[in-house]
Amino acid sequence: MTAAAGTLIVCFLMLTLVCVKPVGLYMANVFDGRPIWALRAGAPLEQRIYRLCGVDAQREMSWQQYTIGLLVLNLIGALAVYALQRLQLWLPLNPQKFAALTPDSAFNTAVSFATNTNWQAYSGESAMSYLTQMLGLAVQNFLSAASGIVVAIALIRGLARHSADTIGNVWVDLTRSTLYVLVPLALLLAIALVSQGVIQNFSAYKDVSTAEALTYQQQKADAAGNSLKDAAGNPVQERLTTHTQTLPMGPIASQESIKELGTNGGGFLNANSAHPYENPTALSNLLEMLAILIIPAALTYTFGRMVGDTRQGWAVFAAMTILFVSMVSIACYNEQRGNPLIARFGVDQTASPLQPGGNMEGKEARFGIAASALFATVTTSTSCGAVNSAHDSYTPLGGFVPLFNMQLGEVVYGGVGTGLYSMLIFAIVGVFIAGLMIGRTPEYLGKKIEAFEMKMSSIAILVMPFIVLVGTAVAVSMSAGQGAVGNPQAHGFSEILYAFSSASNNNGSAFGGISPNTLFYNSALGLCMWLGRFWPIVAVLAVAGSLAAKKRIPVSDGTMPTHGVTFVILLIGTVLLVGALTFVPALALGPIVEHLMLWAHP
Amino acid sequence: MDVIFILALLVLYAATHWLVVALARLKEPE
Repeated sequence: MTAAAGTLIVCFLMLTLVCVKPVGLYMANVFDGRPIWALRAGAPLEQRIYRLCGVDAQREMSWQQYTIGLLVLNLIGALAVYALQRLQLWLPLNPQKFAALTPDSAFNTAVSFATNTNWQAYSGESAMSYLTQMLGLAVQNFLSAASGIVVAIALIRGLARHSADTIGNVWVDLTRSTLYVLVPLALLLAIALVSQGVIQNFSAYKDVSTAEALTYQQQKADAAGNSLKDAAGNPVQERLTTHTQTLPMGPIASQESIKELGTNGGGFLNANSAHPYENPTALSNLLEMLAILIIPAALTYTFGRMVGDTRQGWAVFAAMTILFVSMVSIACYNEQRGNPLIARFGVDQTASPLQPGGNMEGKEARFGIAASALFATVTTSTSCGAVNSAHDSYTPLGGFVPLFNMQLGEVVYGGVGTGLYSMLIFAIVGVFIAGLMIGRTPEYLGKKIEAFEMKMSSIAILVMPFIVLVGTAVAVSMSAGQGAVGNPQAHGFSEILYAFSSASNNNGSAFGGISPNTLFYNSALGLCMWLGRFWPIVAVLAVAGSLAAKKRIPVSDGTMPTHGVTFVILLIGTVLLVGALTFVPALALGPIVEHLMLWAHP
Repeated sequence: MDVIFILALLVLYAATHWLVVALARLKEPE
């Protein structure tokens, strides 16, 4: 790793750290309903929304009512996005006259955006009208992010309250997280991005003549979208020549900002944050990475504040940061180390003032190695899935980092809300293991952890690996699953494993090299996205309801402190053990064997 | 095909709704 990379990582973490307390405190005040200036200023609008929707803001809900409300909202969202995609040809704001998406693609995208996954089997600039992008996808970016935040807040209330039957009002929490957290931050970030050159307009696409003819290669596909292969199993390429380039236009900045802040990740354009219209400069890149981490990281402080002991939040933040630094270091080191197969051709891969060196395949020259590897770690340790480089082109161990980040359950800061509630579930499992070791009834923040909480925690943690591994196994054993893969052997397996890991963890980034816009992948990944999102949420809210009803046990000599170094180590160990034990066999067949093959005969 | 995929969405919702009910029942005996 170069000194510049180290400086970038340290500066980025310092910036994140600076934001944690003010943003976390602000969110704690918002969700506690304290009369801060923002709530006073927004009160007339907030009350009008409640009146319009018939919401009784004073009525608290049981965990079942809270969960059903959340599920119904997301079902309606998914149905609306499906309808918009199927009807877009007859709706306004479609200057390119894009046709309706196929039913399976519309299903996949509807589930994808309702679940905060934003897996994109389509290419945004050649498939979606401006109306679908704004009214369907961008609106879901807000709602799905708000859904994640409110689940975390409900779990915090479960830990903070005692002898209570309720965990809050889902409609109030959703409204407040959108109105006071997501919308203001998205507005500020959109203006900052426009200042850097991100476009925001409703113009039709522009055709420009290129100075010289452009010849390029692309994979040949059959009518179903599967890549064609020759007798040796390699993808068939075709050469095309053009004198024209079409420049996509559209309201990109407004979608880009919530895409990052809500850890959604679905790009307006197919190239996502690698495209200069989405992410033009080094500063916009830094702002986008910061936007991805700011809410998940700040929620740890919100947690500490709401349970009345900020040390608890800092302990969780410390565990997340240690894991994050470890993962980004592995990615940076391996990408800077370069590719021995390229070195064989005499290509200079050493870093110098004139070039970043290392493995630059699939990376933008304006970002280089460090800002690409850091972005890849940020986007997969959270549930964002935006990309500024091609993860498929990373070295095997560089590509292992985003894959393993997702498979850990995206708890290293994690998605907005999802990261914190998943980490708290790991904390509950951690104190349970510690309780078993010392022979005491486990407790966390004064709440006894009993059989019901452990059953729910097991469901919350095990649903994801189950659907990732079963989904991958089904895909590799079916011709429909194998047909979409562009690479043979271990790398092809990694591409399938990555797709199911990304969908089931609601990340949405693609490894690339796979053509997933097929009936099989659209349906299978749609199923994984829904189950991977909502089944753990149901279990987490059940834990919240159960904990809220318990009495608080006073701290005694036998209470294990959950704000110290021992707890941080225990939490990291629990996360790594569960992740490692579940996925190491699958990872051995993909990136690990590929790494050994690459370096065995350089 | 539209009917199939809209039904699929409704079935996914119903399965998740069922999970809420099942977990709530699991809690009751304690």
